[in-house]
Amino acid sequence: MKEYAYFLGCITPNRYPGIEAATMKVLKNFDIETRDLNGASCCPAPGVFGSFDLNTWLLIAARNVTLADMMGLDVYVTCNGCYGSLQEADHLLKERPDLKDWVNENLKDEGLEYKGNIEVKHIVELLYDDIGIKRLKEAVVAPLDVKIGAHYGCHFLKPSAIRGHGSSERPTILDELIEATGAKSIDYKDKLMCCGAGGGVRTRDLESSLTFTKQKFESMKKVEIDATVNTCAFCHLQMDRGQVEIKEMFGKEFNMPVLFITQLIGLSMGMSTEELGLDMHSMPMTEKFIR
Amino acid sequence: MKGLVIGGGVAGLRAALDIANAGFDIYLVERDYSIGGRSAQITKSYPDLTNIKDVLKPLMEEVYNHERITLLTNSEVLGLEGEAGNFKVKIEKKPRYVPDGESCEKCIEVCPVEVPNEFNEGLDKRKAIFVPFSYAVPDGCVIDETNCLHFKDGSCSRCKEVCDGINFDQKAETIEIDVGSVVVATGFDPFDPNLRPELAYDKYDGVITSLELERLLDDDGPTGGKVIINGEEPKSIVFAHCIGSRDKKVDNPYCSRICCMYTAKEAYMLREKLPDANITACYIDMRAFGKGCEEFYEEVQKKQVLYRRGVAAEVYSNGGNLVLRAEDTLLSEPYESTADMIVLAVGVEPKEGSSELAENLGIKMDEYGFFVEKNMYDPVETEKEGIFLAGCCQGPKDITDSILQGGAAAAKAIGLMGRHSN
Amino acid sequence: MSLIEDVEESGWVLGKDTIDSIYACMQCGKCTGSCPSGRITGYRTRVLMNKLQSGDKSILEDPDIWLCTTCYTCYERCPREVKTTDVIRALRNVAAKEGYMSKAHRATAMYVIKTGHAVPINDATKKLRKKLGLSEIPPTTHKYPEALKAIQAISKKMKFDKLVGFDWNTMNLEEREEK
Repeated sequence: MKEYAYFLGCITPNRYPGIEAATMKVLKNFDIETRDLNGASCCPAPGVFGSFDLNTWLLIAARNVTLADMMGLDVYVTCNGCYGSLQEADHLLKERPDLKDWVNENLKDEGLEYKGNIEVKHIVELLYDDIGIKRLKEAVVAPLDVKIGAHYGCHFLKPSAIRGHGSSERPTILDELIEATGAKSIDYKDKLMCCGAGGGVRTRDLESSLTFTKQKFESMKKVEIDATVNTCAFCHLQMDRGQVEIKEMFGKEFNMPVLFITQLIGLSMGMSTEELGLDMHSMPMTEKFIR
Repeated sequence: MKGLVIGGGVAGLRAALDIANAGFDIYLVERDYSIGGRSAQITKSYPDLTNIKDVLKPLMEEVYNHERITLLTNSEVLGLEGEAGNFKVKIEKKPRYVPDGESCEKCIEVCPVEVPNEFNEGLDKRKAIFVPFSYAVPDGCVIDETNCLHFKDGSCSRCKEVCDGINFDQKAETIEIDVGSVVVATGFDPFDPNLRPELAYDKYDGVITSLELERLLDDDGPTGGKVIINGEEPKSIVFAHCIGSRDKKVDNPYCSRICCMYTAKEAYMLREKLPDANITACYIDMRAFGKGCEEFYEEVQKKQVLYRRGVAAEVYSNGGNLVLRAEDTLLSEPYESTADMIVLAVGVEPKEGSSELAENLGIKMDEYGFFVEKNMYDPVETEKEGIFLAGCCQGPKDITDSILQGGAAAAKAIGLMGRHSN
Repeated sequence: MSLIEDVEESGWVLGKDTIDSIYACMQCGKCTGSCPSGRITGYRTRVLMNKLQSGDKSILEDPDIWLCTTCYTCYERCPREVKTTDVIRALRNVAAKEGYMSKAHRATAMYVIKTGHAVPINDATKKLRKKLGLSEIPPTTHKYPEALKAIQAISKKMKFDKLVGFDWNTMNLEEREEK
């Protein structure tokens, strides 16, 4: 049995708890235990808080990593933004002794000390490396005969030199996970394009932000897919709730179901639409995803 | 005293001839089946637009027929010992299996194997027994033993059935020669554009390299000189400069020197073949520094080749058409350009196998893998006395500069061997 | 202080070399040509690098600098390895200090100071959590007041509260004229 601390962030627990439930259920099925990271906060969003004040960003991110460090557990996330913040902070602290000293100086009032004994992981790494495609396939009891447009998001892969998951131009890791469920991953023009939410753009300029999202959906519609599957709670929000907003703002409807990767895997393992929280999305699931 | 030249491209050919004409016997070792090098794949030179074949073919024949030059093709240098004036060099001579000049081509007809034709950059196929290219020297057929079924599993000897000259029993042999000097002129390889996956070279047939376009432009090429992409003449062509050059991401921060001008020349030739096509070139900076080059660049512009400042960013397919995304940096506007053909102006990289050769010869390579000259005032000498450099193995350069350096290396080799002969 | 010195100072956690990478920019336009925002908005990465090189402080008030989604495509592809996205984040820090932070952004920051979350829990989600068998309140700053205090202490210490204009009495944003 393997044990991880789960860094929840904001969107997962506070808007899409189905991602949280699906993730823990899938992991449990493969003997991976999740421990609460008590007292964690916003990661805080790397392109938002990193754009306001990098000092505050680093300290809060480092604090979140340190909570896991002090539990002696590797920590995983279900949002590319959280991954961006925590993984980058951890990387910086491991590379730069001056930053580590500065962080520890500022965290000591709370009785925290960053030592750097753990790793920050993305749920995709747990699925791909710890569990593996073979075991995921073996666990499929209800294969999904669906066509999926994969959405990688940005901060899981980039910057590739820091993230360490290979080239960001032709990733296959999410496609492999999708296909392990029996689904087919369909290539589309803007597959690797940003969802438009990051960097504070969603907050500051919703119209521009949704224009990205609309462009992605238009490109997905051209290849006739049944749903889009992502690796990031924030992209998930942008693409699910974003469709309602796109309808309001541009009068365009896509009616595209949006699933987080563990929700798709959960379905393939025979879990129900309700227990994965798929019935709680803004975009209703189509028949193929109702179990 | 004898000399050695490694590499039979323009630089090596020039060096071998100059040394031989000064009265020294020369071995010319070529790894390929024919001499001629990269230049043989190219149709015309810039800026004068002469047919390279008209210059190169006589040069190759002169080398082949020269009484002082011993040509060893399909051969490689394995090691070198000794010092200037007295090197012992080990060479592996691999068999061609067919006598020189044997080219009735019946054997080719019966050969059942088809593999991509390297000379035409894989645009067509060749057999396992084949003539490397129309004016290859030595002429006649050779057998490529890595693809030949006889050498794979003994299942075929059809070529031998129609040609008595073929001798499967030939064996590779290692010879040792004594030489006073060595000129290294091993040339270059083009950059592999798959290292920039956003340009989608591997994804779409319409994205080709500049060397592929050279083969399409050649009357002796796979299409007889017709520029055809996906069965049709392209109506809209974009040239993308600096692919694999000035690029730290692929560890090639240097300028490849030739791409601006060969692109201008290809654009010129393309305009002659396709008078109505839209032709655009995306460039970062235009480097037209050679004699007559700036003037030629202007000629090309006047042929309504649109030069648009800003490097090619990415390529995707919009159903049937290719679309290139870039920024016009003079207008500060990103744009999308639809094209039937996108030509990647690939840069110059050290020849594959350079590090083994450097080790075998005991010479240094720079961080990219080009061989290092002694210093900028001794630009054809290496730190190892008696070993000289010529052509692109020392760094990117054009045909004229390669020939120039071949001559300079020859002069140095002649001087050294002269001193040691006295 | 010159613009670049300001950016270096604000971006010290990312490293001086990271910021100074802008001087390697050769204006090829790979960034802008690859930029999904540039296709939609007036944001021009290359121009930004150029203005940083020349120390043109007018970019601080340019609203377009806030239209980068930090997707890192330009950063990944830059042939001179300019750390574009990192530089943009640090540059925005300087702009924020100069008061060019939008009200919407200040509100997002306010939520973190107030609750520890940029997107805090609401009643609707509490119900969903319960239905899924999760704890109604997640085990975050929402559940642990002392953890929220730690976040607030960091905000004060880093003067983040001042930066965003957080009023501790009202636990809300101060009125501020938007620049």
